[in-house]
Amino acid sequence: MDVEASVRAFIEKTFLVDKDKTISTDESLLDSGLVDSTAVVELLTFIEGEFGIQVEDEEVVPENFETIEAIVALVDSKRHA
Amino acid sequence: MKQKLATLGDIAYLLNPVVSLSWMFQLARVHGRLRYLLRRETRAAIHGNIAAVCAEQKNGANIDRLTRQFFEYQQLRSLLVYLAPRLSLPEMSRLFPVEGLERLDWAVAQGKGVIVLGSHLNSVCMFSAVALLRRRGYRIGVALPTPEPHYSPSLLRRLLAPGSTEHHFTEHIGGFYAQFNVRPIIRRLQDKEAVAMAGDGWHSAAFAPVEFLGRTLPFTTGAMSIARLTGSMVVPLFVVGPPPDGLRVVLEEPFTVEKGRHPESEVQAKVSAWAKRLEHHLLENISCWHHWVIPNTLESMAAWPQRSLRERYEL
Repeated sequence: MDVEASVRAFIEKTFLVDKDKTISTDESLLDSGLVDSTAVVELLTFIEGEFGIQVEDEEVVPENFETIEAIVALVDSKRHA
Repeated sequence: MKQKLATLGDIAYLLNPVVSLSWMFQLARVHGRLRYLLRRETRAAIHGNIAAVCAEQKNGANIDRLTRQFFEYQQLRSLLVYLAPRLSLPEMSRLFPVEGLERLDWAVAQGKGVIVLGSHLNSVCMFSAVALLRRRGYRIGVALPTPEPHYSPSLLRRLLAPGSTEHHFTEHIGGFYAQFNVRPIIRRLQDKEAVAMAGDGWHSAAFAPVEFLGRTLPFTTGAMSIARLTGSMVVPLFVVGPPPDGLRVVLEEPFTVEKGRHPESEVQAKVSAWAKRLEHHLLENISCWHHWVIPNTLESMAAWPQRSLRERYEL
């Protein structure tokens, strides 16, 4: 499963109440209230474990978790670093 | 945040060995009264906020008195924070008597870390309470919403105590930066430490609607969400009474946030319950809530969720 699909599946399984809804790649996760600070921690645990990366504290900023697209970009940048 | 050259607090810190506390408190009161007289806009805002909450119970003269008390108490509390590193443990214990310490002890003994949930009631006195607990051997620190807190040492203070961390505010309260990224909080809880946070702030990614002071207002869900995630105990802390000699640190009944199948409602219930306790203490200590300094406090609070994340976190 590629990064985007994996991240999307985790978010939809963990945080989405309406299971029929689909989240678009550029939909705001934070402003919509789908993901809050605690959810970001759960997301971090997932992506660090799933993709074998380490996200530093200074990288945990809203911009990196605003959308699925941003999360994928973060993962890709850490994997290719 | 711009580095301050020196503050009035530095002067108090320098004078402390030669000027008695009672004199310093009197000076702080006078300072507060001067600000009450000179800061007309702020005075009007605070007066309006207090009147909106208790107009039915208090007459105009009483609201004026409460407004003046707000300014005096603000200066007295600041003085206590600046002086804290100089005060002996007996002095700190006298100024900040703690009720319910056995509740904190019990919560700590559960072994999953403790969130000590304070508020802006007698704002910054929570810092003093944490400093006192640290001196008594508790492993506790304060999660700060900005990298450089307001009471960061000025240049003068750094010159007075070069290389020393003992007299620096942040180290004194075990302060650490944690805002959008709450991992620093979670690490400490997992290490069975206690973390002090405020439950009535606006630095939050999410809010829950709560009936408070006669209207529906948003309260941050951060502390309860973290407690739910980590299984940590939550101990409400309220600093009540008039500074400087009437303060009491009240630690209330600990609770957990259940990890059931409905996270939103589980968190909502606990946020509402905590806010009810804040409301109770606030109505008995009306001039002690720091948020009155916000113009149209309750209307402004209602609008917090509409602010962008960047604004809420003041990035």
